[in-house]
Amino acid sequence: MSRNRYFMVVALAAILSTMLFTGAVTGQEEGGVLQRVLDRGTLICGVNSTVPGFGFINDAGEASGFDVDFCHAIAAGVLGDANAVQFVPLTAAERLTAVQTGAVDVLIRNTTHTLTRDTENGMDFGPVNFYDGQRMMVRVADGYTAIEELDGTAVCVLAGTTTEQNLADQFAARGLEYEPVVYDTSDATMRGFEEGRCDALTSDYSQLMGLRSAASDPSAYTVIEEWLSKEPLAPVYLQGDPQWGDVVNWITWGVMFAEELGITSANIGDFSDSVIPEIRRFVGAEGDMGAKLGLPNDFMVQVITQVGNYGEIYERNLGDIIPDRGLNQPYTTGGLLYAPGWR
Amino acid sequence: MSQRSPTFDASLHQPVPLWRDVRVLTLVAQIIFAVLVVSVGIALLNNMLTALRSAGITPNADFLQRTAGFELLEGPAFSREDTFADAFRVAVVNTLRVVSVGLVLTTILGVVIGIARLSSNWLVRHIALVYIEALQNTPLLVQLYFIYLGVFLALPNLRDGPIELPGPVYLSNRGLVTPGVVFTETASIWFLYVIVGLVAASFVWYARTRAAERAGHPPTGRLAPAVATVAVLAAVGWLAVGAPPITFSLPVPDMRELPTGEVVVRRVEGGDTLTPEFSALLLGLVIYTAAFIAEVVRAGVQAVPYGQIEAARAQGFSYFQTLQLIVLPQALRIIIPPLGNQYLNLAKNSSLAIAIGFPDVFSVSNTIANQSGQSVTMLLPHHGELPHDEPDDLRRDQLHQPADADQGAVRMSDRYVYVETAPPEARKPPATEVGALGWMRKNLFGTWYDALLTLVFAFLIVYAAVGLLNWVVGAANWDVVVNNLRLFGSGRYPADQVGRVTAVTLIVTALSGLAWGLWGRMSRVTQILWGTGLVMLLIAPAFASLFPIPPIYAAPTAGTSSPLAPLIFVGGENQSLHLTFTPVTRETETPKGFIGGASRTAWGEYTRTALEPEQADDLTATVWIAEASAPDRPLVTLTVTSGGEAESAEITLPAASWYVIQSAVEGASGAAWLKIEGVPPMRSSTSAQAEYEQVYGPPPATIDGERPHRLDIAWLRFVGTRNLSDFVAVVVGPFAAEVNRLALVVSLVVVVSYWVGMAAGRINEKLSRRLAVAAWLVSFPVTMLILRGLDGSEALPVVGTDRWGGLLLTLVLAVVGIVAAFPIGVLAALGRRSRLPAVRIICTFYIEFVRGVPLVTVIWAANVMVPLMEPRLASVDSVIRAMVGMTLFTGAYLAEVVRGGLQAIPRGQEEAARALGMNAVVMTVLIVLPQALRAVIPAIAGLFIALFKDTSLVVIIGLLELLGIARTVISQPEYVGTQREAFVFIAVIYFVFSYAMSSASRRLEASGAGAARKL
Repeated sequence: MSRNRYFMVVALAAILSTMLFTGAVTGQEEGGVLQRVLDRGTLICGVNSTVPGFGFINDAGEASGFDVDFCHAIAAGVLGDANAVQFVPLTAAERLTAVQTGAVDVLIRNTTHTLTRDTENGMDFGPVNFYDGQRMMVRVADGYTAIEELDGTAVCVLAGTTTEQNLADQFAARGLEYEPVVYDTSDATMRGFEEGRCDALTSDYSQLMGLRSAASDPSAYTVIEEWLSKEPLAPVYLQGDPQWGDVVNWITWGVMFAEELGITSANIGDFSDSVIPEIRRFVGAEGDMGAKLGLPNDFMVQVITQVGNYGEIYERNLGDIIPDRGLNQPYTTGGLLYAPGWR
Repeated sequence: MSQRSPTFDASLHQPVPLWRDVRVLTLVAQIIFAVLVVSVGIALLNNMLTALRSAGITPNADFLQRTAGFELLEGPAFSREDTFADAFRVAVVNTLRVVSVGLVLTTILGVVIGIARLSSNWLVRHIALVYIEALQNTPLLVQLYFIYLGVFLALPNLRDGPIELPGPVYLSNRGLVTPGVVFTETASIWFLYVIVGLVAASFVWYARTRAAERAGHPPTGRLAPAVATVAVLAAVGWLAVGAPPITFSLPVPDMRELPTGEVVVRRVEGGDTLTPEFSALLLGLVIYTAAFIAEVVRAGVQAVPYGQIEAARAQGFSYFQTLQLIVLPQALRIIIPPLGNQYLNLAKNSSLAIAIGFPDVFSVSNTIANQSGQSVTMLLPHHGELPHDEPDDLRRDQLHQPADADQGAVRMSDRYVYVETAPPEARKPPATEVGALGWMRKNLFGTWYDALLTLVFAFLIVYAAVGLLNWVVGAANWDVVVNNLRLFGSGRYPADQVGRVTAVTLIVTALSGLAWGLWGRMSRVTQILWGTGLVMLLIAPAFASLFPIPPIYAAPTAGTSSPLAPLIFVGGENQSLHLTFTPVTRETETPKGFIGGASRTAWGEYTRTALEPEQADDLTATVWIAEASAPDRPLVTLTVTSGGEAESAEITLPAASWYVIQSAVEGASGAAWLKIEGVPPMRSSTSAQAEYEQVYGPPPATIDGERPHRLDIAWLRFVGTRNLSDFVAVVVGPFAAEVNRLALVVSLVVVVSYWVGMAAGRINEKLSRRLAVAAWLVSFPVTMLILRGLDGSEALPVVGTDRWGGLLLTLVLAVVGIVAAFPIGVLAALGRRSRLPAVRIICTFYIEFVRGVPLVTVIWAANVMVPLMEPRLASVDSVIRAMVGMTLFTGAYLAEVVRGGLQAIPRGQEEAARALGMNAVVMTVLIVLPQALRAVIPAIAGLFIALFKDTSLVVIIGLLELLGIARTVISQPEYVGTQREAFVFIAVIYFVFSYAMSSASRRLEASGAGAARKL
């Protein structure tokens, strides 16, 4: 009899726990990404680890670069500590999955904003933090000056990127043939190019310049004038969490706005008693801009003090690599950086 | 489990109530188990689908019909207008191509090496041994990178002129282009003739065999007539069909004129191209798998009783006849089952193609997943990709029992099979053949072909060694290794917490030393080697300082925003410097020594512009050197102008302090070199920088408002070819300085714990061995705790697994993989042998399912699907996810190993346990498992080594273990282009660990730990 009861109990427990477990795992989680980040005390940021200038691991073992600094900026704004970031180095092929699965809170890893990605893949894009475009790098010695001359050559390209599709589109549109040599990391593409596996390396201009600057002899390579595409690079986060989206968007715009206003990490202290309402709202001396986002009111002060404005971030990381800021300067000086109203 | 009364009384017999009927109970238990497993599975799947749907992804196959939009490197015709499904089909064909060709080649190579391993020629035998050890003990992925980058991409550039061979065949780093075969319309008719020819040939073969057998001699001389039959019919067919069925397309180089007027090869058109990616993957898979097949073959050959060979010799069979007719046919029986496993491994390993850009199934799926956003759906095809193997460990165990008892023990795991044997040279030579000359005559020049082999291989070895040495000493840039040792060791583990990694290292070293003292003996040779190595390491920095330091060059260039940032360095009192300041012209020699960071670019730019004749240089440059505390009081100032003379100066530094070099330029173009002799570049590691600060005080943060560069190794790069003294001064010294402190401590700990182990063993061997085992068991949680830290602790702050990297992560992944897989493996093994069909089927399904899938896919699945299955797992770090994947994978392999052990236990043991009244659980835990596990210890060790190497696969999901770190450090701006150095370094690390572990496990086995000795 006892054995019988034993089995009954076991069976019941098994069935019950199955139901509980099933119920538990299907139950959706409370709170949004912002709450998760605040509870955790760190921001999980997906970055590149192989593009000099944008995201790489320096010899102290720390992530470093332009995109990496935007992660620092979000951490400074949300948590008050620019270093409260956990960096997840991601390959191009796995980055979208990382966002979809929530493995990273935000992905800032030279990702192009496209319609398909925005609508189909369950994620949203923040403001463009770098205006880029696809171009071709070739050897100076080869003397190629236009894409038409590249008919029948081998082209190195990164796997699973819009670059790969643009290349196919552009060459097909021009009726050109090519041999695609596809690698899974951008340093691999550069190595393939440097070793002579391919005649041209195509990627976003910024990456090309970054890779070129790291080459053993940068002056041996040049970039063909023509653009193959527009590549607006933007932060990416999971769709369906408007609050978190706003936080990422406004911190990104914030660093641009600071540059428009002339606020830098060095002089931000001088602005704390400014009389200009716009600046007062920006530094949190007036209004409740921070509270509207669910952040401390002085969040932009933390961002600018600890990380700096857009111009500072640019100079620190890209100043040597792409000295000409081109479209990536405030609209006031002829660029495309234009932050919405801070009110 | 039902208890019956000893006597059976029919009158007492009643129908057993349902709830006590064993059949019903087991049925219910099985149903519950099955329901549990299936419902958890369904729940997880449901979760995943829900999560996908909420993210706007519907996993169905429709997307496969969409236009791909990308092109593929090779395979059947494919273009961007084709669909994803077409791309996938191309990928399947590509994979099949590599695998099918690979199987054939690896079998041939494996058999050749296996037989070479048993050659009577000492040199050949040992080359085969080195080949096997080197390849088995380094990860395939590292080998693939090396073959691809170091061999195929290192071939001549197309535009420098491909290697042209008769044919015509063109070989360059774009691949091998050979004349291609083109089939015309008549080809199909001609093929009929060939098929008829093949049928006829098989009849000829059969007839010749029968005739030879009737005549009573070995069936030789069958091949030539058979081949002739095919050839004749093919020729007849060729003439009969009229138009030639096959034509050739010859490769033609397409020339192109460069702006300089030089004419170079642009590409080779026509012909068939063998891409470097295909070749590298094929070669990598072939030579790697061959190392394993060689051991399988050797085991098989050695299992043939020696009497068979002697008998064949006595019959007058030649060496090759003996091999072909006597040895191989008998050995094949034994070779075939493990060979199947190796074939399967080759097929699975082909998924590493992604790393070198070959479009195989895994790589293309990845691209499709990324282009379509359908990451989860694309994982599914892999599960049906490979046939499931059905190994039978017990059967193989028996097969591999060598016929000759003194031939040694059989050792195997699922991926390894080899037989330990007494080396053949142990048979004593006659007294007339002793001495060095006699030894050589016997072992190197026994016959004419032995002599030929010896000479050929000796030449090859010398050639390879010279090339390697030239590269290591003269050309390789080892700074990437020396300056990133911390990253290689522990990855992104915080610098101020690295002490914890050291502590864990010392704990593990101490336990290893203890185990060595208790179970093994340190041989004299090991002691001497270790001691010498340590002493050399310790004196190396001092020794290196005896050699002159190569000069440092820095270049102020006109037309740049900052001509040269202030350079700071440390200088001792009375240290003398020699400065030379030279305006650069077209005739200026390329410097040999260190060149400063940014000026590397400037130098390249300059020499290029200097070649333009119209360029007029108008540079006036000044450099001055001063103490950093008083930058405006120069010790010496040098000024040169373009076209002018060089200036030089000799100065003696007044005090031990930080010094600064500053520069100013005027003019629009031109450059000048400052050559500095007498200053060693500063070491850039954290510990070295701390030392400098201790002696010279903190470095100045700014000089005249600018942040200065440190004149350290990370900022400089060696250009030109080093000679030996440069090598010692520049590479050996700094490297030894980085590692010798840790090496000293580790050695001390090993020696002390070794002696403690020996002493303890002498006092009470049994007790101390038990204590040591207990210490090992305790050490696992303890080391994990030290590494991860405690929440809210001051002394041990948490270091998240995302910060772990390098060798640390590699070892942790392997250890966690095997430890965590242990319970799963044991349960699955027991489950597979269960009498309950539901349990058996589910366990078998798990084991075979996982074993049929490549590890890369399992890791990918764990990384992608786990967070979707359970939202709370999304924040789990990918290191943990990788651990989960590796654990599930290893669990399945371990289950098979344990099952082998279980089957090896005599039935009597079980029957005796039952007779004593033990129930199933007690019997399993106390009787069956202890014996089974002891029997499979060596196999588990083999599995662990395989796992250690397989951890390199997590690089695919972006983890920074040893291989990942290597790929990361070579993308640091200073070290781009140093992939060979980094890969050679990690290959050496993998080899050292893997070899040490496999020799330790061999010793373990020899000590009898693996034998079921208490039976």
